Amino acid sequence: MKKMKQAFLFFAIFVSVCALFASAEAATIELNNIDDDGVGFNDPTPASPVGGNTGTTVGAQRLQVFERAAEIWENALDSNVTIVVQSTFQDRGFTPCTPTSGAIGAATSLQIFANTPGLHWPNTWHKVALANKLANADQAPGPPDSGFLAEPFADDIIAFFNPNVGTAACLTTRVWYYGLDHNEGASGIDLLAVVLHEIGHGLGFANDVTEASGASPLGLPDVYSSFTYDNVVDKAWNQMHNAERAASAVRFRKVVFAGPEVTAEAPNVLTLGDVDLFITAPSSLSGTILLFGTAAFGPPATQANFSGNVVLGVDGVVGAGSPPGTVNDGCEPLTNGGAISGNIALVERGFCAFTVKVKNAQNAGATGVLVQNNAGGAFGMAGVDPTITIPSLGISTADGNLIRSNSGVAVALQSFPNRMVGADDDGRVMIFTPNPVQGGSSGSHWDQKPQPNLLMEPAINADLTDNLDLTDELLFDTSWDGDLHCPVTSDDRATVFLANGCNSGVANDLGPFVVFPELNNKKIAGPVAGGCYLADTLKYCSPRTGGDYASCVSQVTTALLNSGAINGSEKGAIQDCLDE
Amino acid sequence: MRKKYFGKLWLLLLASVAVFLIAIPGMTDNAEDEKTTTAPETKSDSEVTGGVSGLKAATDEDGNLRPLTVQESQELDKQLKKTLGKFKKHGPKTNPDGAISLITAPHSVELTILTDGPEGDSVHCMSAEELAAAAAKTEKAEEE
Repeated sequence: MKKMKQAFLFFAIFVSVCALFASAEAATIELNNIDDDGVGFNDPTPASPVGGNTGTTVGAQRLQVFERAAEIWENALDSNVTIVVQSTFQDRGFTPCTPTSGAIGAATSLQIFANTPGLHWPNTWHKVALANKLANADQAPGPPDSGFLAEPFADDIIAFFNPNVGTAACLTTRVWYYGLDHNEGASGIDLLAVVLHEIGHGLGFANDVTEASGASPLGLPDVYSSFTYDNVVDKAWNQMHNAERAASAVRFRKVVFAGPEVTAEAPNVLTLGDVDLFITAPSSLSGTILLFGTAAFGPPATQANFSGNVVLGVDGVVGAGSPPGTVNDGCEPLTNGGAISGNIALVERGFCAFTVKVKNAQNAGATGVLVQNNAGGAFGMAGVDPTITIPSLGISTADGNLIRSNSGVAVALQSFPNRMVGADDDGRVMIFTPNPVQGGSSGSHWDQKPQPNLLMEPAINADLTDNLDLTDELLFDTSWDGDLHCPVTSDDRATVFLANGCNSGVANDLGPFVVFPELNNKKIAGPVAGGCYLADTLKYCSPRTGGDYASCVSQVTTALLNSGAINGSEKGAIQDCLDE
Repeated sequence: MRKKYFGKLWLLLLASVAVFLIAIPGMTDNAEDEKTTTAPETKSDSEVTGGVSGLKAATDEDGNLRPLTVQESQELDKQLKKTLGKFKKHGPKTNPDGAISLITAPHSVELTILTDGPEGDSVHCMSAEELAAAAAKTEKAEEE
């Protein structure tokens, strides 16, 4: 009998372990190749193996790149439900192009879901692949869709790639690179990096917010936005109404991703040691911070090599062109070398390559260069010139004008050795929120500041590798690892405290719960998920004071009572705290 | 989190192996083999890459990338509109159990746009909506 019990116990544990293994399976990503015979992924044009890609036709090489990208993602994620990526390398009209610009790829999740089984965040949109994973069942079941965007939309992601790149009508000077080694060269476009990036979006590295208006489908937030946090107003995007979200979407470098997995991993990925650019003279401007972009050429600007007086560079030539150059664009040798020598040169953007400007300033004896934007904000500078030995930075039109309208301006870089490049003071990584908003890019990418470059920055940079850097951690935060995560900004104290410091004694249980943000001082009709602890539901009341705060707390506690999150005595305890 | 998850998995696995040994004596070697062959996969995609200053694409305005020219935005928008117009926009579906679904494709598609220019190239994402807005803005500017 004892042996039978032991055997039964073993069997029970064996089954449970098997079940655990089943739930921990690596994801399977399948390509639903919907291209016609002889084109796209089925292009029979002979091709020589390149960069580890052993395919001998163009179509076979494209497939190998896709399979490699799928393999990388499969190793990073777990799911028992196959992720089907409907993909086409055929001209379907979704990759518009001109000789100088064009869509090289495009992607989206086919569907989004809320309130399906297994989701941790109520009334919150999730991409279909994530909804499938958490439900442990396909929410849009069926065999792969039979054709291009064919119903019933059983596939999960759709991805397009442009077959016309390199033709007379489309990005004439460029060519796809099908190697697996990210060695695309100057004119190549690294397909592997593009596919990794596109699949990342389809899996959930994207919100469902229209940044220009702050609106979202049915007024419901998405799980990505639950961690998108504004440092100015101290709120996550799912705790805001539309107008607040729209305002937040253009707070450049003030919005971060507050997921605990990303925040924990960031020190292993991002470079430590950030720098800010300050005006140090005249005294009336001293301490002013200038935003800047870095250059891809020359030595990195540091506290040690970038300080001094700023002198406007003069080349005296208005270059002929449309638009024409200026006498301060630095596109010709500088004529005021005596003033420039030993100082930082300021030149205007435009008319010629950044490397030409910086080289001319270097030849005139400058120790560094500020390139003033001709129409906009701080910007990064691309280019290659190994003979450049001085650092250079790109600053905004406004900041350039500020320097030019004052005499005796000096600037200096200051190091912040304990701050990661691309993160805030609390180690949270910046989300891309440029001003004005860039639909499609804003909100759904990392900022461009992080070093090294990240896969999900809005630009696909030349130094990307197979490394998913912080991308998978972000997906884990949105529940791709099967767990509920609370933003690092959550109030996770054991009991609920109010803004006046009173401890209500009410257990601060795990949520998330439902809150009712206000729009123009009126309650909106629909509930919005926010926070991860009971205390977070009271957080948005905090900016209010006195009676307004008490009224807000009363509204929220009533809503919590009605939803069953707290009982009457707990509501009473919180209310009593208001009077202390 | 993955480490934590695999930690739990290992504890359960070891527990099952221990019970297995109690229930069926003489299986020590095989159990050890099983333990070896079921080692959790290590995460190969999160190598530390810090310290490398990489190429940043040329950008414009407050962090924006090079905007499309008037001709570019209008031409791209014209081509895309022609395609998107063939596909209807779907509405949300609510199930009796409260679950909601919404087919967002293809109107939610995000384009990865490459722009060539005298200062270099940039590759960045752009929604169909933004492309249309850019084209409309430039059309309006031209009219004025």
